[in-house]
Amino acid sequence: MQAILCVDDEEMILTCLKDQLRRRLGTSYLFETANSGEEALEVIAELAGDGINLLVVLSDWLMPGLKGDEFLTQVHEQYPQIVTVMLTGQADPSAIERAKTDANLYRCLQKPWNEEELIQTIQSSLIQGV
Amino acid sequence: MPLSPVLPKVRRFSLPVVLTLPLLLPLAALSLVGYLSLRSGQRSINDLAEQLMGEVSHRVQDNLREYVSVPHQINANKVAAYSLGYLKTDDLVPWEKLLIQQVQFYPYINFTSIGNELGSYRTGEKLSDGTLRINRSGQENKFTFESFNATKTGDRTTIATTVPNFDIRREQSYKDAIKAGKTTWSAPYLSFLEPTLLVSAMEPLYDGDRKPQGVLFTALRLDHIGRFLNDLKIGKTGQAFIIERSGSLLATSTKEMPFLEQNGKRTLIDVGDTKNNVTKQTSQALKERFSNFKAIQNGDSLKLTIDRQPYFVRVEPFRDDKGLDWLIVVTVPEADFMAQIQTQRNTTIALSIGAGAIALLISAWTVRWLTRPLISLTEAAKDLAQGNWQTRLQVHRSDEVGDLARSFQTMSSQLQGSFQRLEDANQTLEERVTQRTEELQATVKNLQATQQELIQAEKMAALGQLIAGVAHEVNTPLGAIQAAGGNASLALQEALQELPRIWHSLPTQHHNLFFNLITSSLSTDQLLTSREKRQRVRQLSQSIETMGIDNARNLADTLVDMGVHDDVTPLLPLLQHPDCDRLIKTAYNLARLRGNHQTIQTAVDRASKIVFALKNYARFDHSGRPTVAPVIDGIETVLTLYNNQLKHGIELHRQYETVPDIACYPDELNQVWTNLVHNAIQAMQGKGELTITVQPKDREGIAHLQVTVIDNGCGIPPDVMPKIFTPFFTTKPMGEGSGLGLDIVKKIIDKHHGAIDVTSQVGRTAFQVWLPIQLQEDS
Repeated sequence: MQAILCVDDEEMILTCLKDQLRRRLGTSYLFETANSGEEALEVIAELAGDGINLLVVLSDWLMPGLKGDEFLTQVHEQYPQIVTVMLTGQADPSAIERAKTDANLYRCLQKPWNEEELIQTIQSSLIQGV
Repeated sequence: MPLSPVLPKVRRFSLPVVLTLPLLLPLAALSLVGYLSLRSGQRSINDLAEQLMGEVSHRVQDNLREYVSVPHQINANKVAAYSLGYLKTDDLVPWEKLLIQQVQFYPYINFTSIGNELGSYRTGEKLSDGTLRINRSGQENKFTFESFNATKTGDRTTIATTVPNFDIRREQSYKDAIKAGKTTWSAPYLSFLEPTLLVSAMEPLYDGDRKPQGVLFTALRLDHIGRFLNDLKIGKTGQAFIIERSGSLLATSTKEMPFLEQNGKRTLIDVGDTKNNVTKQTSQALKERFSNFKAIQNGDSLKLTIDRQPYFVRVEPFRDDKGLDWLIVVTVPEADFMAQIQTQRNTTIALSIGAGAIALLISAWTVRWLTRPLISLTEAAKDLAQGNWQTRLQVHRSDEVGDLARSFQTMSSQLQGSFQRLEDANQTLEERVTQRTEELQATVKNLQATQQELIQAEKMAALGQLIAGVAHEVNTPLGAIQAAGGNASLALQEALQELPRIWHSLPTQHHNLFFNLITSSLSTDQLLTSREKRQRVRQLSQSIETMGIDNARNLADTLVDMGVHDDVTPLLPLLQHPDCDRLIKTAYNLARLRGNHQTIQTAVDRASKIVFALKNYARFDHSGRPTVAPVIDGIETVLTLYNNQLKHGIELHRQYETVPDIACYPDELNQVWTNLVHNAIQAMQGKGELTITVQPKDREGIAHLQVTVIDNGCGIPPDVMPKIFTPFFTTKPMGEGSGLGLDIVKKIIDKHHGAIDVTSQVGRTAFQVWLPIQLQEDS
């Protein structure tokens, strides 16, 4: 099994993302969500425990607790094969830079986002990941 | 340009007075001296009288001494002729020539003569009219006294007078001379021929046996002494007289003759019988004083009153070695001295007045001479002081004053030049000042503009920070709306495409099952967290797996998203359907219509709220007048805008009491709350407790609304505390804060006539804002 993880403190964003991803990418992937970086790290650990291959993490930046860049950096450090993508309504440019450097950020998308752009990014990142 | 008028205040006296005074002072001194001399004169009048009278009596004595010495010298001359044997006493004729010779030498000698023991007598006589006489008597003419006119050489010419029975030997004087046996004086006696008293120096002649041979006589005219006394100026009305100790009057300075002439007979008079009252009174006083004239041994002075007039009297004895013993008396009325002094005084006064008048005239002239140019100088100076440069001094003098006037003229010209230059400089200066003022005004305007820009920048910075949050806050619902909208549309599209096929492939008895799934999903409200969901998915996935259905996890995930959590057994026919995935997906798509709708609804609400808050925040009231508004609404607006920064990690406590709306500038107050909330969040670094209280409270007896913003952050260090309201002071890194935040806060609160207090320590910082409930509007 392969999985894509979306992290955002807003539930409605997660729902929307999941809808889109599910609709476009079908049932061949598991779509996991988390409300914070901390939770996301738990999820990643769970998935790993379940033997599910997490391919992409799509994270918001401004979140309670771990900020997007910090979270992705941790992910990258622990799971360097996971492609990191940021989706944010407002990010500190320096945070994006940090994420690019430390988390090998693949792409940063802006809210409100375009579905096509999102899907293409994920798809291209999947290829990247492979 | 008015000069400070200091001098006139100091000067009490005008220049003419000042100049006149020194000139008048000597005058006063002169008067004083006059007065003093007058007084001292009066005081020393006695001394003066004493002195004067002493002098007079001495002069009298001196002259007398000469007078009385001459007759003896003449006798001595005759003695010499006799002793040498040129002339003999037995024949007197040869003597005539000598006697005539002798008598001509001295005006005060009446005669010089010789008488012998035979009764012969020869006289050389000079009368007051200058006539020379040779007198003779003796045995040869039967003792008749014959007086012949004579020539200067001693020759008889004609006989002038004859007096019978004259024998010299019977004369008392002759007897006295023989009796005395030495040089002596006769008693005073009256001349036969002349109206005068005489006194004769007598010299007895002896032969070798000391036998008397005759007597030599030389008669002194006392009327001459009287004239001498008369010639003396003894005061004005003073007099001098000479008396014998017996009291006989010998000579006097008065016109009175010192003898009586009755029936052709002349007699001496006693001084007590004189007709002159002063002489008489004086002699009486002397007698009274000294009991008799013989008792007066030394010179003495006395003062007496005659006819109620005070008199000074001086009496001086006059003696010689030949037995002469007289008294010289000088009498002067005090009035004479007074008159003298009076004259002196009058002279002094006249002199003083004269000198004074002259001094006054001179001083007046000098003053005029000195002050006139000075006054014109002063006038000119005054003119100059009033800026009248046309003043020209008319002084044509070559002295110091002229120099002064010319110097003044030069000075005024130079001054005029200087003032002109000064005025020019002033003009230039004024222009420069105006220019500078304009520049400064421009600078001030620039500064004001800059300040406005800075304030604006601060506002923009705060706004920028807000916007950073707000962008996220808005973009999140926007993203959700966009996604949900697209999702809804596509889901419906897919569902509508799939439904007919499903309808055919699904057995009719399972149609309801499919619809029930959709209906229940639509009516389910998603209240689970992602964590809970995941747990459900895990459970559901396992139960589906036990049913032997593939892709259980994905299926479970979808079902959980549709609100199916617990029992999936009723759905088993659907799950076991060969086209299960499509079936569930269609149901999901239909069920998601509501979810998407709800998402859109929520997102729109969120966005609207933020937009509303922004609209509130940015509401600029350009009327510049306060409006009545609820303060809490403003605080809430700011809290809304900071929602995304507050909601994670910050526990917000609102302690609002019911407070009235107050007249205020709401948009400006929003800036206050923004700053305070923003600072609080920064102080807590995003984590902590933020407490906001609003309550009505009195401050200094005035009803206020108190808003307190409390954080439990790092606190404000004590060294920073005094500076926090200082413009441009900031602890934030460059670019994050202008340092104007709290300055603006203070200004806004001042505008509301409120106050702001701060207390801070680590873990508790409280900003207390006081706003008067009744806003006093600025006039």
